[in-house]
Amino acid sequence: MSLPSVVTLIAETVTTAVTGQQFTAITGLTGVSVMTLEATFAGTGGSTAYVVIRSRLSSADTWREVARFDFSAAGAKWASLTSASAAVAAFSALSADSVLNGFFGSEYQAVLTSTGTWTSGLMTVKAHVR
Amino acid sequence: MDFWSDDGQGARQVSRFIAALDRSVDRYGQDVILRRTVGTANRVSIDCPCRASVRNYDPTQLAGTIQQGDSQVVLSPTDIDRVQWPGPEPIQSPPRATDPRIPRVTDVVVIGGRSRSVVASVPFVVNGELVRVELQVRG
Repeated sequence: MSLPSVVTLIAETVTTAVTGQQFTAITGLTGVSVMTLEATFAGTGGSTAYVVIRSRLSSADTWREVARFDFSAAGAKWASLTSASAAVAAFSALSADSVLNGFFGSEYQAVLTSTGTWTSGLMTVKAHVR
Repeated sequence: MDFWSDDGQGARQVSRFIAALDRSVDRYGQDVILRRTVGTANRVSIDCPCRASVRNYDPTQLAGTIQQGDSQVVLSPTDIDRVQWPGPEPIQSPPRATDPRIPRVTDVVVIGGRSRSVVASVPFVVNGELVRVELQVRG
């Protein structure tokens, strides 16, 4: 199957607090060398909301965090994941607004966490892959 | 041959159905956008660019919920699967019973730049696989 140009990793309303809500995975993204991520958040009244994008090599492997977007108010952020060579390193949980470059699995999943009660909250992450 | 064993013929038949529809919409169809909007006050659109067969209903078909000006849109699951539209949904237990790929009446199809509302959505499933979607659109 050919690579799609744009895939939606999450488009979810955010109201009451959620902790680590996992979403179904986008699968079959083999051969990706660059991934541009755009995260947008809208809403008022809450405290925080962040989404972690995870990837794994196959459905039998472990999810690894590759991008994290944090919001405390409405806004939009982007990040570009590239296949730049990197030294051997251990996996670790990502800190706020950070990425792990070079780890392109075949599956991607969003994990949503929010605190406080948001009015008209909406978290979206779309990916342009090539 | 064992009555209960189809020796993979069912899966091959499904592939043939989808491939035939793909060829048909590729040759005779047009580019459309299947669109779902998420959110209420704040909204985001999730688009699926796809090839589709679009035709007006024959006057003899204007009955029931089909009105003059409505169109029939035939979609293949291939483009929907390629972008994995409408995107992920929260993992829940038990999993949702309905196939999320099937357009809903709240979705729209953008045809030639014009947004047309989905009035009815009919999935065709063969051997447990979605092979074709027929939509009635209006507006």
